[in-house]
Amino acid sequence: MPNRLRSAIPYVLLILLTTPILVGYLWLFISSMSARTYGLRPEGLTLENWRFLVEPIRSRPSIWQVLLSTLAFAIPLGLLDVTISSMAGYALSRLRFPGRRMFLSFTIVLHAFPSATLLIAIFFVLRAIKLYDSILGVVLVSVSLGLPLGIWLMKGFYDNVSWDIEMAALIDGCSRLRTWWSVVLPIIRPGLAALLIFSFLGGWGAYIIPYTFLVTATIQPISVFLQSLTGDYTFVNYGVVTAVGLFQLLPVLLFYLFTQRYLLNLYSGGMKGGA
Amino acid sequence: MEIALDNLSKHFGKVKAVDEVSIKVPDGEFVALLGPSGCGKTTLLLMLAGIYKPTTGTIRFGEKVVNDLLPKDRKIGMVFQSYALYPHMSVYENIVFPLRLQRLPANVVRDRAHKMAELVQVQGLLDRKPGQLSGGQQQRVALSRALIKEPDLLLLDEPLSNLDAKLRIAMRAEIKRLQKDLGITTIFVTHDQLEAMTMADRIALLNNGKLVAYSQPHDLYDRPKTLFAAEFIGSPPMNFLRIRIEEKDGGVALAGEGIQMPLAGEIAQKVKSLGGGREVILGIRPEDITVATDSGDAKAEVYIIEPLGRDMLVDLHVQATPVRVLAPPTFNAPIGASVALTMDRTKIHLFDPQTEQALLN
Repeated sequence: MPNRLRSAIPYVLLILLTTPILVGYLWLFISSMSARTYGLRPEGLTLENWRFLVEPIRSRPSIWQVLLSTLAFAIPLGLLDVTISSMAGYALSRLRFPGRRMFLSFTIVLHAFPSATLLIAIFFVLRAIKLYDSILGVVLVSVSLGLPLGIWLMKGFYDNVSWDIEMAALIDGCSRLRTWWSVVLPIIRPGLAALLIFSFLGGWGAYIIPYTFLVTATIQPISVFLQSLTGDYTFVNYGVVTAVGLFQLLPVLLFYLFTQRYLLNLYSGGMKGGA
Repeated sequence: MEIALDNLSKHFGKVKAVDEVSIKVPDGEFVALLGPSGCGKTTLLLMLAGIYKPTTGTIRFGEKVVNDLLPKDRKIGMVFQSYALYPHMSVYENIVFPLRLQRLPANVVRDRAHKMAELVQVQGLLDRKPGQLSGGQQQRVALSRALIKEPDLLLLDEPLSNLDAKLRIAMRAEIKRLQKDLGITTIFVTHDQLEAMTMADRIALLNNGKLVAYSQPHDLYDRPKTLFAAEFIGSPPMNFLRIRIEEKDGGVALAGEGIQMPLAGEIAQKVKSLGGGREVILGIRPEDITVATDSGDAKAEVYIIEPLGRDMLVDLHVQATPVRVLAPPTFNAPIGASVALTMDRTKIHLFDPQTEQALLN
């Protein structure tokens, strides 16, 4: 059956490519449940590694405090990013104003700009406006760094909304603002949802920015917390590290499972942008 | 409501999309803006809607100049070629959207929506989303959304061009009837001369942003004032032949390659006054030529025959010039046969080759 063989080739390739990733996940899971591992072979099944759920690890804040800080960072980040991007994207897609083209090119350039090179400059700015070591500070920094992509994506979604619909709304009796709010925004809702999720997940996993600008342990998000477990001068307990890692990973996996339909929109609908 | 456009122009950079157009639309009339694509008809419509601002000139609704009035304050309804229904709202929500914006009481909104839905026959579809409707149904919904606020002016932008041929003919009649029943002043844009002919009380013919003709359909058809109008109106289109006015022995004739067409009576006088020896373009519609086997005004060769059912469309060549004739269904001559054409003297049009203006009317 050469036909069946041929249709099997993509599957074989995909399986080969994903096996290392799956093995990684598997090890993470096994390791978090055992005292030690030899490759994938666990030794001494235990829940001891998960003790951090009920009792803080040494002098560190409780995991629930960390979770709260992470949400306090990721949720405003997602909301702000979507709010600003959806407004700026509309303006760039629909309105004519001086500097529009330049703004668009800047958006692309800034998106490609490696944000790590800005860390020191941002540090001085945050210290000057007294937002160093505050969640608000890292939210603002992360939103700014996320905006170029968000604006560009939103612009792409707006570009796909027909002018006719907008004109119809104006004639039916809407103001421009009302048209945007009651007619155009609902149409690009899949794009808004996708950007919200994308941006939230970015905040959930963010490391460099919070690590650099948050020093108080109680307001650090989970990625920094995880790093602190390996960065100790004491012996690194990889069982605990994997357990915390899994704890951070599980919500993301679940999230992807239920929202991938929206996220796919980002890659299908959103990229038809252009100046 | 009477609509008056006065020297209306719209420029996009250097392009004059609409160039000094003046039109008066009497209250309750149905006017077609007709022209080839890119002639400025949609730009004109969007200026009436308030989407585009005129570069110069004025638009009057009744006595009021509306140049700077926002679309929402113009009391207009519009149907788009794409229908432009709001995809996230149900049919009912689409229809009542303009009323919701006016903050009318709920019972008024409901009553009017149901009356409207009945008028355009979409009662059974109110809970559906636009995506679940056929093109014809979407069009009806778009029409009811445009009409529900009882506008002073209804604008239709190529409303039929996305429908299939059969539905188009049905909707043509339906829209015309609806317009007459409601008595709403209506302006519609089309590139289809047949649509304009069949539906409109008056046709404004546009070309390159300029108003070429503005008159009643039969007038435009019978007495085109320019070569462009003669070419654009009518299907199959008018035939054009290059000829010369010849005076011989006191008589007058139109002569060209393979054409010798003696004239008599009133028409002869008119043609004579244009001057003998003058080169002109003869225009004649396919239905105003008869084909015979013996003798006539021109010798022609049958190129191909297209049966239309009611008539035969005969493509002929007079020397090198193609000529189309509508012949009775009994017509049968083989391809390549030599025939003679006789032209109805009362239906001929002459145009100046340089100015392209009609010479006889």
